[in-house]
Amino acid sequence: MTKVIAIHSFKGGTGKTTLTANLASTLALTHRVGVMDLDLSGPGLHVLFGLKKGDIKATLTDIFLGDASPDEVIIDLSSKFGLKRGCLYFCPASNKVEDMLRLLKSGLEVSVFQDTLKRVGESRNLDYIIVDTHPGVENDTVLAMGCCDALVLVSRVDQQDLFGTAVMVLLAETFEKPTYLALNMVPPGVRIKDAVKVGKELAQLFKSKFLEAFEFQMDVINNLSRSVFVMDNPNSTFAHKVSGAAEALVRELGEAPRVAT
Amino acid sequence: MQLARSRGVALALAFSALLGLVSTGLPPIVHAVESYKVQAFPYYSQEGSTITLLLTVSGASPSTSYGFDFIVQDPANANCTSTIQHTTGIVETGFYIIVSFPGALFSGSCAPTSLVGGYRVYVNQTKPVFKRNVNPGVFFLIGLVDSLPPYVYVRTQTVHIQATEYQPGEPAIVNIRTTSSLTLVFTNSTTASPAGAVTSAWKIPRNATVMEGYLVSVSGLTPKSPSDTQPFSVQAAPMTISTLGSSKLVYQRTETFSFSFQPVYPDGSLAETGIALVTLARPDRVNVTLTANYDVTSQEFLAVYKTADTNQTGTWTASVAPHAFDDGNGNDGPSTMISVSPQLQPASLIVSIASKSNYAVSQQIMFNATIQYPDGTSLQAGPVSSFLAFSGGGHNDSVPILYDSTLQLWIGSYTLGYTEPGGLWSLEVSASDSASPSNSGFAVRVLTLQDRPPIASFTESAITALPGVAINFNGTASNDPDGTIVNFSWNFGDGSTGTTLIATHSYSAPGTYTVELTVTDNSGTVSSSTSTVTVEAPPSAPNGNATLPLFYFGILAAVIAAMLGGGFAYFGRHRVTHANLKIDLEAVKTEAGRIENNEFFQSVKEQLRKEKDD
Repeated sequence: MTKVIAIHSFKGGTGKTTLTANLASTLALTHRVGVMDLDLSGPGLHVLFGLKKGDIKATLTDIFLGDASPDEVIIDLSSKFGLKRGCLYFCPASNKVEDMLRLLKSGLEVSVFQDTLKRVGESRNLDYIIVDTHPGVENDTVLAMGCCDALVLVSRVDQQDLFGTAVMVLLAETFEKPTYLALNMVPPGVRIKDAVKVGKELAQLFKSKFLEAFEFQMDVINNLSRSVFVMDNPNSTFAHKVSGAAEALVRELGEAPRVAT
Repeated sequence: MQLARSRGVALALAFSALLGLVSTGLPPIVHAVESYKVQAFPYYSQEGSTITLLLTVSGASPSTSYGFDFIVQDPANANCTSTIQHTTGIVETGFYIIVSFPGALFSGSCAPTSLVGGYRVYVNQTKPVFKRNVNPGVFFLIGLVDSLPPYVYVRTQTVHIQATEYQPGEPAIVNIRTTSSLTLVFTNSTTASPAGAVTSAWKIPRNATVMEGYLVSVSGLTPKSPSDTQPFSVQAAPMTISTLGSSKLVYQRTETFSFSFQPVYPDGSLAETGIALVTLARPDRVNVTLTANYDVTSQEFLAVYKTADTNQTGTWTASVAPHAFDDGNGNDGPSTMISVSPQLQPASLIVSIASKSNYAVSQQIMFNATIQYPDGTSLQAGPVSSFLAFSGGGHNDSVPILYDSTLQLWIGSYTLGYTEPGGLWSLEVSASDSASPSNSGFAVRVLTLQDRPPIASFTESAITALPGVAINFNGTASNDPDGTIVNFSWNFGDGSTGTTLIATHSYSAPGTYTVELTVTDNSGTVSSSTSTVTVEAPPSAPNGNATLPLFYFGILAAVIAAMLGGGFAYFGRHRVTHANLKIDLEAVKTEAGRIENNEFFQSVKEQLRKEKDD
């Protein structure tokens, strides 16, 4: 059974998409992982995955609209990232304005979304599907929240951001979904152990679980969304932290059988 | 040549004084053996001329009276005689006697110098003893034409004719015929002058025959014996060509060598017909033969040679060999070879660049260039290169350039990278070809690249804050479309400033502050962006007073205290001062409730519940 992890943030610019790509890539070292770009109004994952216009034949939007099958949409990135044990698949969102408008107008039904998740998961026998949503609380965010097995909330140490994150925790509670708090872009000058402490306290306050605190790192910023940082820098502090977060999520969701070595 | 007439005079001059000086001082020898020399000057002259006769006597006896008869016998064998006396001085042993013929001292029936032919001169000594014909065989010649024997003219010269002893005003005809075919080439009906002279002149044409002789005759009413006729001959004119000119001393390849010269006839006139062969020697001594023809415009003879783009460079020599020019009538020249040696140098290719002069940085620069040889032909194969160099130095980009055979232009285009600076750039096109040594050239065009201003943009971590609460200002979103941002400058509106990409600032007093970020790009262009931050008055007490909407978390306060354990923490250039987080839990609940009540949220919840029940 494929587990669905939704990644979300209340505000934009929290580094959500970057974290999604890095988390998915790390999980894919040992698992069969699919990534869905559900940031339908501002997709960006394909850039991080180094895809060009010609690489994308059909999009997730086409599946939702019934214009394409998962096989036509899913892009296998495993060999590109040199994955030997795990697999990484990607469902791109359309970056065509007309497609986005069509989908946003027609609206997404729970059944359609769930069906899509199921078909994608089964078509590649996936252990995990990671869904990158767009910031704020919109209809598709609510769908992702309702259909996922776990919701990772990415927030900066910022008053407005944490306020929104608290709202998201309360909403997830109504769907009885577990939430995991990831503090991202912790400013320089704040000791990381203090940030972890803040995160844990906040999680307790919001009845959520603390996942990890990631420092604001110039290395990651300087990567300028051109590639997946952990794949290029597997021995960096950031990579180790992402790896720790991935392992924690796997534990929380119940160990999926790892791909045989 | 018209000979002057003069009255006949006889002159006897002693030269014994000179001899005396060199004598031995011995007494003079009486009846010594004299020697005589008779001369007539000039040897030849036209009718009517005066002839000077000179008798030189040496070995004469001093103090002796000498007598001489000068006898001139004309061509009709009539004689005239002049008797001259001379007495030697006491030491005089030699003397001259000069007599002019015709002259008053002569008497007899001979004609003056008015008959064509030879005049014999006899001198007889009559005293102190008779000696006949002391110097035999002396004569002079009288003729009609002004050329000395053998009466040869060259074409373009003028034959001056003079005959005398006609009646004043007597009609006369002057004719010139060839001697074999008797072709009349010149005739002139005239009258004798008051002195009885008939004169005429024939300018010999450039094409006068040289295959046969000519005979000039003068005939009037008065018969003459012998008649006034005289043969003469005409030869081809030697053409004088003094110099061979070259339109340039230094030529470039593809230019045309132009050599010129002017053949001159003996009468000073210039040739307008004919042809010459000009030998053009390359630097490697291989010859090219050119033909020179008359050019009406320049009124010269021109020989041209169009050089090729690959011709040897160095010294070329053009020459006209002796007699290489012929005017078409057999008059030729020059007498000696003339030559000129211009230099041939590699061609300077003429490059001209056409393009707009103003571009924005990172806009595609398009240009075309014509590259021509001096003769106007286009260079179609390079190497041709072009590059863009920044006037300030440090940037030098090679620009691709190709020949478009349809447009017959060299076309180049290039887009300078966005990191290249705005300002003056020089676009240089350099061309050369495959000749050895190659022909080359270049041109430079100055282009102005206009810098596009940077875009200032920033976000703030909060637009409202309490006094002393740090706000992060993040200028990361700023960018420069054609370069990089090299400077950030913050003005926080309360007199504080900052220079970092991400700045942190807290305000000490409540109020509304305008924050301005000014960015400077690598070309020095600046842009600004502003935003407003409101600093609220702090609450009077954190006791849940109904007028204060904010709920303070005790836990959070502790956490923040932990964060700030070190007071001020430094990390690089970022300075974190205060950080207080305050989240109103009630507001969180209110906002969550609002969303929950949303229709879509409820419908999703309903669908999920149904699914679960199923």
